[in-house]
Amino acid sequence: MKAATRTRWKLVADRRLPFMAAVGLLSFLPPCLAPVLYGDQPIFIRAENLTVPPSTGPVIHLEVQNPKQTPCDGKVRVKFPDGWRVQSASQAIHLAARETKRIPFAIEKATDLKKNGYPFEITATVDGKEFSFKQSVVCASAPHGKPKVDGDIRDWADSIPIAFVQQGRKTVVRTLWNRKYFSVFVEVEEDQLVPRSKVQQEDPFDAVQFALSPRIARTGTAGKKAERYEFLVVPLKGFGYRGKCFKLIEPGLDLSRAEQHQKLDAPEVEDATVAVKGKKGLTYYEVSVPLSGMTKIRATEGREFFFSLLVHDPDGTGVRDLGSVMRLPPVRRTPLSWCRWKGAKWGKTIPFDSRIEWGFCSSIH
Amino acid sequence: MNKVRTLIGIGCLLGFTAGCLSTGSQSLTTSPAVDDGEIVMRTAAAQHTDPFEAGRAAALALKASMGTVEPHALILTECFEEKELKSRVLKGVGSVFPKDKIFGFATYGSFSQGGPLDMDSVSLVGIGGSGISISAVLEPNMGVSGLSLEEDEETLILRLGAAGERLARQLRRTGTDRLLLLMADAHSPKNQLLIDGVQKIVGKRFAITGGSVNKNAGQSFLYFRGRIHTDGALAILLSGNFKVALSGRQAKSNEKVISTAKEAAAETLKAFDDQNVKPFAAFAYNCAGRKGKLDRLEDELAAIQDSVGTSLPLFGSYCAGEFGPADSTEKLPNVLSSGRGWHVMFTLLGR
Repeated sequence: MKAATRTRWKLVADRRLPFMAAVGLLSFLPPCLAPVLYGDQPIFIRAENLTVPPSTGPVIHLEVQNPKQTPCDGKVRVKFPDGWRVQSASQAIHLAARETKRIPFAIEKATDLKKNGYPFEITATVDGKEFSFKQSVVCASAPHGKPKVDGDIRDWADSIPIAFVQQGRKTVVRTLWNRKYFSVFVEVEEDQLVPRSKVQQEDPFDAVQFALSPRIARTGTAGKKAERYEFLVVPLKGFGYRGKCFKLIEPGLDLSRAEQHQKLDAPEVEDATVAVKGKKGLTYYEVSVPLSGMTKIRATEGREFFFSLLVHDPDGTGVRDLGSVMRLPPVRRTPLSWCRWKGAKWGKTIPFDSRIEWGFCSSIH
Repeated sequence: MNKVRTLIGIGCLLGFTAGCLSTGSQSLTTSPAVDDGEIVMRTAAAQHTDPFEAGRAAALALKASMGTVEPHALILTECFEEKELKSRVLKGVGSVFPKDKIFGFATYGSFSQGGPLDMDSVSLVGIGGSGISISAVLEPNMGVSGLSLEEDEETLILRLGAAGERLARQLRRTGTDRLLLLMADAHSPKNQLLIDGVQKIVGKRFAITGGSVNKNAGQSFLYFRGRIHTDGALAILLSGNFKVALSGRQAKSNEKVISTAKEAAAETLKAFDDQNVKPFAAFAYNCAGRKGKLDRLEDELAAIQDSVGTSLPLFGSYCAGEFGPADSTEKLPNVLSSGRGWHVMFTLLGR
């Protein structure tokens, strides 16, 4: 085998091997290893995000997952934030073997918090064993709005920010929607913005990658079709900073595209607008993508969908994953849930899948 | 003689002013209802990307539907995204009917007996006939825009309560007042504070229904006599020899939204059946949150029509808060209507 070919295969193997190993491991995970992933808790529980402001009195769900081969019975009780009133704070649960259920809790009265972190304390008693944990639940919702895409955060005052910190660096994600566009604003705390080089286009560069999918979408496995719209916002050097938005995958395309390390030479998303602005220690990404190109997403007040976002900071923290603060179970780290592309520098940890509960809402007021 | 002329002049000026004020921009009243007079209520709707055309088409359909009966008032709901577009809706409706008769508010969509409508739509209900009279009043500039319960609770209680009282005091009262339609730029849960004020004047057992305007940024508008208002509330009192039956139901999931809509309609129909009253129209002020939970908008309407049939004029809108009977175990027994969210407030009118 020629040296160049050997090198090429080695590079491919180096990139793909960790992901292939992870796929193999997660696909064939024996149930007896479930406690390794879920600690000593007999079931996995997490509170889903609020998808509209809690003051509107929505229903919030707990996701409960039985990883065992035998059914289980029990009760789950939630201590909600002070001042909240809920129809019933305690519910019985019965789960078949390896079943996942969503348990609803109807909120009757609640107050919205600007910091967007609602402290829940969840206690479960399953098969006689009690355990409890705390979770800071966020409101993951896009209010109606029409921002001017210019990198200026001031017209995002009516959005609902979600902040998370990875490796000591803060990222804040905001979303808005209107009839024509879905908009995202990301504040990235970093030492410097590394735009895509005009010449060495495959050298690692900073970017924001995000995905939307209908509420019923699944990540899928090799051989299946994608069920998500996934975008990449790429900063370019120019007068100040410019940006481009590429569509990486859309529903109906083969999911194998996700592992193909796309070259980003396709046309940009038509009618999308992008602004990238660097301030000292902060980079702002702002993008609006047309909803007309996402026909599977029904944008209307109160409707839920899936959304998630990665920030690529190859010269700093590496990949920052919004899913990391959503208390998602380890099985939600699936390699095909995010598209690979040339210029990305992926770490050893597979990001969580791109299906975080999100909602369209009317207003924060 | 000069003094007499001066006095006559002042008297004329005062009389002229008084005449203007009785049908001035803040209120509209019609002649008292005739006991056995005709009551005509009809609905019409249209959807078009051109808001003027949507308004005009709906208005023309309504005019045809009402025949020779001139409406005392039209109530309009629309779902366009910008003030300029909403203004063109009013112009479109105003190209068919006098704009002084146009009342209503911005919503998240609407439905009538003909079907549900979403974006770029206009729905109208015309109220006419000698057997029904109206008193329509406006309380502009309540001073609550931008205030939140979290930070401004005391101010909201004060201002909304006072606004509700002032609004209700303006109403022309008769011995046959039956139903108050309340539309306001005060979404749930602030809408309870407004109705508290209204009920200080009309009483807690008086039948009130209605909805709160769309609270999307730049879309919170009321329409009073063809003019656009924000931060206000309007009330239309319907009087005459007819009966009303009200029901409210709350739901937050697709299945429950459908089943409770059917229950609400069925409850009002049963109340009428028990009194041997035949319905001639229905209002359904519905929550936009319920709309967001529906897999198909048509399903809730079908559930309602399972009870009341498909030909009864039905005027429904999706709102940011609703007025009517609360579906709650904590509801006070002596209070008929409250301000709530996640409800469908269903009202039948009949004779």
